[in-house]
Amino acid sequence: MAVRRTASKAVRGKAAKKAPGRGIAITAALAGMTMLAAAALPLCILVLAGLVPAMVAALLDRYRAKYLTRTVGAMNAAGLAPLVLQLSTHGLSMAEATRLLSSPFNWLMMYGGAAVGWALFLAMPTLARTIVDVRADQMQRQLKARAEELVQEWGEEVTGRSAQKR
Amino acid sequence: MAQAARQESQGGEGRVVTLAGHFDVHVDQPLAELWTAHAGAYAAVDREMPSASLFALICDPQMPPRLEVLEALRGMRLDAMLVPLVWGIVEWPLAARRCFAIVYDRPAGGAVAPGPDRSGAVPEDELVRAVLPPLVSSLGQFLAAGATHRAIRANNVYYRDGARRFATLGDCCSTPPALTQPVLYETVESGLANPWGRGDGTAADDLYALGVAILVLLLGRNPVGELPDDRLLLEKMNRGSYAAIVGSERLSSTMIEPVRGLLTDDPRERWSIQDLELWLHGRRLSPKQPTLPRRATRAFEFNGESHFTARALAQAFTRKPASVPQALKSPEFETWLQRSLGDAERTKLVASALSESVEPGVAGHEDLLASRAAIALDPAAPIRYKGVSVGVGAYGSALAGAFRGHLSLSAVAEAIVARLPVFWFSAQPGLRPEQVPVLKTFERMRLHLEDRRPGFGAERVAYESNPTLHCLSPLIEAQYVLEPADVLRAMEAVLEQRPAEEPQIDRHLAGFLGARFKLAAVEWLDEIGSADPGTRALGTLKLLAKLQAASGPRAVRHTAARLARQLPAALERFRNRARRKQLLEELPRLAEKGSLVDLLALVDGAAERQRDNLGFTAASHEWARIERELGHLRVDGPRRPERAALLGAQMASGIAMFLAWAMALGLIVVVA
Repeated sequence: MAVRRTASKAVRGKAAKKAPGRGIAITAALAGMTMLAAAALPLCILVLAGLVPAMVAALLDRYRAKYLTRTVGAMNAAGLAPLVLQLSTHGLSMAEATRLLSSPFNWLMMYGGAAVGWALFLAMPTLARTIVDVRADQMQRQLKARAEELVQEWGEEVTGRSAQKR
Repeated sequence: MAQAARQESQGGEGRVVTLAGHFDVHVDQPLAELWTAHAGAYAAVDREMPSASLFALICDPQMPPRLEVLEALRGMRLDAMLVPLVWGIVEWPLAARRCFAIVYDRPAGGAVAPGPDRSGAVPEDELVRAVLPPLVSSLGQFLAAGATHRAIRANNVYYRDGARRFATLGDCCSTPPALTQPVLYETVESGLANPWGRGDGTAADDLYALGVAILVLLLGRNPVGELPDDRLLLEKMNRGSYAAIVGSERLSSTMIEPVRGLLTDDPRERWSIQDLELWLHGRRLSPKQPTLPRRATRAFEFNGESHFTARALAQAFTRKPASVPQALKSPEFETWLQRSLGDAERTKLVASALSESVEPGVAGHEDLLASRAAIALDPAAPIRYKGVSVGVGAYGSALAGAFRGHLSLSAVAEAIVARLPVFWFSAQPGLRPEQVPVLKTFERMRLHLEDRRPGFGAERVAYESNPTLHCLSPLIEAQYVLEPADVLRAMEAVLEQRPAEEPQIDRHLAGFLGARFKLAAVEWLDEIGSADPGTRALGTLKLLAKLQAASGPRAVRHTAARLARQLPAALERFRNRARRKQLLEELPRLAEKGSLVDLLALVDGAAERQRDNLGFTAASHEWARIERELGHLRVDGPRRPERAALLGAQMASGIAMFLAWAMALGLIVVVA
């Protein structure tokens, strides 16, 4: 997995440890979903079906700050949001939920959003690497140029490598 | 009283050199009858009093004049002594250099001794009536003032007036004391010393010389002229001066008395000036038999010669020092000293000389032992070491002579370092209070001699102990510089004439300034001795700039230009390359103004140096920081992908959150 390859051992190590609030969050999510299922079962079905990529991402995410979950989840939610709005305008009926879930376009919208998020997460490290490398090279060049300037201005003595005259 | 002189050319009257503004010395009018061994005599005229008959003595530059005696003579204005009217340094065209000149009243009657070499006989009546009374009177006043003449001899007595009625003593200031005196006119003690090592002496020395002068004037010749100096001295030692000099010459009963009284070898028994005055006023005493030196009952054999007196043996010891250790250890010597000579005091002194001497085998042990033994055997004699014989009060003069090649410099210096003068004082009967400062002076001399830094050493001692010794630095020697204030002027004059010459402070100039320029810091003298050319140039500049600030001249363009050529090495002290370059460009421009003070401010300004130091420190710190940062970058290289991954995840998360919120907002807007 790309995420596993790029994430550092340290980060993964930290992520591997169970976060103290993780169980609480899962419990809260299950409780929320139960309450949602009790109050509006069609909406619960739609959300559960639509957020599968986000849940997968949450399972795979090894970052402590849950960057993968946030990225995939946000884009997944963005793809799901129009369908949730459409369901709510039709009275949160099961028929409407069935109709929405039977449309491939809707699946494309929900999962496509998640895919965009995932793609973004995979592409960004490469871009960041380029930026970090460029910045490091630039800084190295600047430092070396300044060092050369100092030698020109004060002589080799400034490096402390030659005997000082005084 | 070094007075400025200028040289003028006066058409048909010949060359004239002017001293003190109005004393004209006529270069082309030498006066042969007033010429001395080390000074040329020339006609002189006081423009403010043209009727006065004057002459000028142009001194040999090798001879330091006696300034303190000049001052004393001018203050006293004695009838029977040449009175110096003015003195100073003149540019002397015949020598193409600067020389010391003294202007005297000209003795109109010529030399008292009428012969071609001023050695003709003077009738006894004339001597007693016209020659001696004024001489004795003036000499009495002169000696009472604490001065000594040290140039009393028959050929240095003149008639002051044309009628040849009043006699006067000639010059005594143009050379060191007694330097020109033949051994005949010197006491045994002074005669044993090298001419440069005789010193000021005492009144008794002058009276002895007067006794010899009376005898020579009476006889019209030197009665022992055929004897070499060594032989004459030996005769004086063995027979006493009177017997040695007068010998079989016949003197009138009137004249025997003063001659015998004045030629007494024991200074305590020698006639005083009062005795002479009383004699001139008619008191007549039966002549005293002089006390002869104590003779041993049998001779001591040393180096194949028999010696009966301690003085003669001491002299023999100093001539053959290599044989002295063996002789001193021999039981014969001890027996001779204790029984034959029977002098308990000498025995104690010899024991002291042996006990305090250096260990055998050390270089120069024999010379030192011979010298100490000689002092012990003959405490009144000068200090004799390695062939150099110097009176204890004449070490300054001896050093001056040594620097002129007349004596061995190392022998003079080693004698002081070996504390021979201190031993000499310890051998004298009782240390007088006035001798304590002299002892301290010798200790100070010794410390200076042992210090080999520029500004110290034998040069420093020579200038400190000879206030009238001009600076012998080859660069400015011909300029006859007596005062530090004249150094820069002299240097500028020389450099103007010699484009290839570089201004340098050699050991002589450093010693001269160390002795006489109290504002000279020891650190500057140390810098002059540095092996680093930059430090040396900077030390030179500091010293010369201080001289300029203290006494001018305000502009010394040639000196500044030459120094500026040496200063780039000094600018290496500045670490900022740009500032260094800027200073290098400014140097010639500033040197053209001739101000060494400004030049020093440029190359050694405290604020500039501090700024440079602070800048360098800051730059060093910055360099270290850069090194650290580059190190961090190098270490950070392998960790960079990891950091890039984290950053990418953060960026992706941020972008996704932004897009999601934007879509949510858009949806809300559409629905609304």
